[in-house]
Amino acid sequence: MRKIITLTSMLVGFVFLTACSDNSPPTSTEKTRNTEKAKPAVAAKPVNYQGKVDQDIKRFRSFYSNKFPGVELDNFKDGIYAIDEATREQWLEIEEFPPYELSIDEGQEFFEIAFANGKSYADCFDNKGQAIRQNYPYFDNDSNQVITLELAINQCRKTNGETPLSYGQGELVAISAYMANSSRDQKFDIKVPNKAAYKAYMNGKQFFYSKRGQLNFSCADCHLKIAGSNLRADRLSPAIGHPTGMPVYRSAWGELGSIGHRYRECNKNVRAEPLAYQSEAYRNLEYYQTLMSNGLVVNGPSSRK
Amino acid sequence: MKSLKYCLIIVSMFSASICVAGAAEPLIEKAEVARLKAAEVGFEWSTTSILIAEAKQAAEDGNNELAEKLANAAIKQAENGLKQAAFSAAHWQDSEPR
Ligand code: HEC
Repeated sequence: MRKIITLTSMLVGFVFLTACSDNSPPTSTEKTRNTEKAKPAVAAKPVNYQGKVDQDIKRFRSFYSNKFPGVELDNFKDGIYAIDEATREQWLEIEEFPPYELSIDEGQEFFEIAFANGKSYADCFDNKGQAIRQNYPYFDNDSNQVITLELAINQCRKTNGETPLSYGQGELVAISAYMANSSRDQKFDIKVPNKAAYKAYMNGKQFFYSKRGQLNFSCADCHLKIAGSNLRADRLSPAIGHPTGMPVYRSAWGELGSIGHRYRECNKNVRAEPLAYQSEAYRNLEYYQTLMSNGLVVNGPSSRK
Repeated sequence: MKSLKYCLIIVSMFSASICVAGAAEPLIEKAEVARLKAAEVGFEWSTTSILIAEAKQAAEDGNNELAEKLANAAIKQAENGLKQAAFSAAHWQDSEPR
């Protein structure tokens, strides 16, 4: 049955696309517009990109507030445990003596080891890398891309002549866990400063709402539309708050994993080929997701079933 | 004379089997190209490369019919991935909260 729905929806989409593609030579009109613009004209009113994003954040929030009226907005930082009363108590107990504690200590050791050139991670980051998790990911105007904390950690290594670490799990994630831990209770405050940043944001947003894989599911299908429902052994978490507790220790993994690790797993679960760690698409997705969680506090690292 | 006849039969059988084994190759190549196209837009299905690997194995084992069937299935998947990309591009905003 699902297959039939999938196929028909694809067919409809295809027909739509072919119908639309007939009236799509915007290049010529754009060209004329550009040449017309050559004269010095009155400066166009600057677009308020942050304002547009703030509108999205508002709508996103009220969706979840309406869907889960008993849950305080701030609590969405707790992922599935924000909405799952049955397991929340147990989770809070686990968080008292969390399974990721050792990883934080390890991360600190890695963080403090000096590079061969005598510098260290602290030299690469604002405030010596303490209490800054809430500022990531950010849009970097110089390189014209989204910089996640994990990418920044490896950039720091490269700048100092060290080989990059592998993403997803292991040393790099331990370092990011240590940095997140030093940032607990800081509020996420991600910005969309300009058009290029807005483009990255929109790209991440489109990813979130696009159906993928043989099972034809979008992130939004599971984590927005049917958030709170059961899927096999899992209850689906709301997407608001997704990045706040990262990286997370999952029992199924037996260790900490980054948000990118989770993205890959969620892609695979719908039989979509996962993208590379820190690919542009995943970084834009993380940018979008973190913006949707603006105002919530950092509570990573965190533990999950 | 008789042995020559046998020889010919064996040779022709052998070349036929090579021919059969090779027949799925273009289709497998086509599947690989289609898979890459879907991957390029970020809509490759994780099942497609498995089908292609299975098709290659079937071809190696001389099971041409199966190889073609698997390669065709892979092509279909890659095409569906592209359709999905197009559908998503046109409709993703439909499921945004208003
Ligand atoms: C078929 C349903 C499904 C789809 C589609 C899906 N996920 Fe998930 N996702 C899950 C399940 C199940 C879990 C584990 C339980 C939970 O925390 O929701 C999960 C967990 C997560 C988590 C970890 C949450 C936490 O607090 O630990 C993140 C982040 C996430 N998904 C993001 C995404 C993104 C982004 C996409 C789209 C690329 C996506 N998911 C697509 C089912 C899905």
